[in-house]
Amino acid sequence: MSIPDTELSPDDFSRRSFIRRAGLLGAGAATASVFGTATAAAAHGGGDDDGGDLRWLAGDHHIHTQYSSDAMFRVIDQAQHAQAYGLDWIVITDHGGPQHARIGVERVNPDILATRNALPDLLVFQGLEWNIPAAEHGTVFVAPGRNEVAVLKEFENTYDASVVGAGPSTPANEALAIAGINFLGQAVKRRRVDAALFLANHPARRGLDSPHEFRGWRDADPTVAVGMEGAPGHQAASIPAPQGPGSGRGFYAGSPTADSFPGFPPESYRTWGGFDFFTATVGGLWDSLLAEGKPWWITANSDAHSIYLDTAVRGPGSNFDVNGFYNDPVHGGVPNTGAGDFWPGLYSRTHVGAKADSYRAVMDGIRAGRVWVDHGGLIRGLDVRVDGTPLGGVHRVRRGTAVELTISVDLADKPNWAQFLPKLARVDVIRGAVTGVAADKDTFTAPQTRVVKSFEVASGQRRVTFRYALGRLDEPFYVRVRGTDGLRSQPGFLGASVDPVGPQLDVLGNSDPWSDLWFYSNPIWIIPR
Amino acid sequence: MTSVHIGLDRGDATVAAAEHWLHELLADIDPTDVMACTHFVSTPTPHVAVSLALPRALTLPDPAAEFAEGARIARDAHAAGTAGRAVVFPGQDRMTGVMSVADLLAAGAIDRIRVLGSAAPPAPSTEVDTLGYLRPQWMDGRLTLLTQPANSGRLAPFEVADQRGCCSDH
Repeated sequence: MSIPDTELSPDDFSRRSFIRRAGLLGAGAATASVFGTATAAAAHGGGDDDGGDLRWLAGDHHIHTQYSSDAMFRVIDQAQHAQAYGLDWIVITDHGGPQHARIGVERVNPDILATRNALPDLLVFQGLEWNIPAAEHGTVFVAPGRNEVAVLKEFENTYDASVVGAGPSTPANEALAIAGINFLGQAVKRRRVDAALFLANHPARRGLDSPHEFRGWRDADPTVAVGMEGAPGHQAASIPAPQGPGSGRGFYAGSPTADSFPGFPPESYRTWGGFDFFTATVGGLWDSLLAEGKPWWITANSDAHSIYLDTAVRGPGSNFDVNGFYNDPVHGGVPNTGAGDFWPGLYSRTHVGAKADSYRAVMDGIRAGRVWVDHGGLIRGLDVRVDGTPLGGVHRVRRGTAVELTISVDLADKPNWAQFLPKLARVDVIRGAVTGVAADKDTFTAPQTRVVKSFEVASGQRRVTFRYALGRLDEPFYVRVRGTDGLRSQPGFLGASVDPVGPQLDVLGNSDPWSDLWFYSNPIWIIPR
Repeated sequence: MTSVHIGLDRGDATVAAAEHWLHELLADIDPTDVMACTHFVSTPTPHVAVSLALPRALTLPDPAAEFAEGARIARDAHAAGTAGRAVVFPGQDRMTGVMSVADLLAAGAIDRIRVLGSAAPPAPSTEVDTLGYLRPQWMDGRLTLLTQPANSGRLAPFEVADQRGCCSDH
């Protein structure tokens, strides 16, 4: 990380001392709605949070290793690449499952501890990819500490759908998912771990995460269940065969199953501009959650299992079923054109506004929604404010007060990892009314959300700042921001009046991930005092 | 022409299992004018039922009591053309390789071709790569093939045969 220790406050000075400190995070620190009063500000970053002293730490919360049945690398392999490609934090998330619950969840830990020592400037969290009962997969991770393995292991053995056989979309299995989130919240309350977070992975891929399940997870414990992947990993998956996998971008190439939510349109099973339908659709599922005035954040990550054009192969003599891991990879000599993943940090980044260079600060930043994401190094930095309130925050003013949005973008000034300088073409402002709790828990549209302003970006600058008057506050609303290289667009799924030039439905087996770059911010709410 | 609709349900968990059963059921039947569909049913728990449309009546065993409702739902949806994913349908064997939209529509039972993310129907000359696997669906009373933009400017079916394994793989 670029911040020297001497610049850290005494409180944050030593990551090690942080790890020893237990229970600093009250699980009641967040609340369910921005309509709340005293606790609302805390839910979005603290009452005194002007966001003025944030360090933006880039990371990836969805990475597999040799402890996953469908992956292959050591922890240090993934970590070294993550650091080389500029990441500050990563989460190791091997698949939950019988072998992992019995062997991998424990055995990966010494590898993670060794990697923390070997790469002291990289934050390496231990987590797992949760097979959510009755739903898709999710990232679950905890703050490092003496109970990190014990909490994850108990969680996996009790609540992982593939361990306990709870896959089908039944009410009992949905309840088990809620119980799992509550377990994590209790683990924090009882100070077994300092913090625990859950983020839904590839949420629209197979239609398994129904709208009411998102609401149920979030409302069960908003200090734990905080969001979803805005963009899935596997962004190389649609590079054409035979040079690439030739599948759907993000390996989104499926169609409904018996367990899919029947209300989702077929378009939801595909990515749009590399992003998941729930995030890419203006006025769609994500906006329907934000319109309730409740936090729900988006992220982006690699989901790295095996790497496009990498030449390593699984270690000879491996027996995953018996051992719970693959032997260390060896050089195979042949570029892997069937792999659909990029190394962590090479393409997808989740930027977290942290108040310190620490595990706790990254988790606090994610929980507070101080998060924006980008693909292909589209931009270098992003600062979105509503009169000083940063991303994820609630700007609370009297009715009638004039409100202004400021978007400052640090444009890319160096080539990305495909060796070209990305050019931001346009920035869009998306605004939605806060309409309160949805009567129908399966609502997945927000009819009062649309793109309200687009700014063209002139080239040849290092930093651009756009100001946009949001008018005098009458009813509560939120804003979020999106930007693109402008190379691929079409009217949004809900029509050109909602999103005239939105992301394009990705082409099966032929989407160049480097010629269709987007960034997305999380929202800021503006609420009458 | 078709005169009888039959719903069947043994509680298959997956589309693949239900398709396998359909092929067993139809093994000794003249396929002319036969349409066989799978249906997603949520009662008593989410599973896959099947339906048949046949030119003449056929005696088949009644479903178990717990799946009677699923069988009825499947039959009614097929008869009304509101839902059902066709596994066997008239003209299927003439729909292979790369065909134009116009030729696909002329070849058999598919009434309409839709393109994901597009409100407009595809031009009749647009090429569709069938990828050897077509599963048109009943929607609004019309047997509809959902397609998506694919390589080389062609369309490809929304549902593809070799779907990535969904539980342990990624």
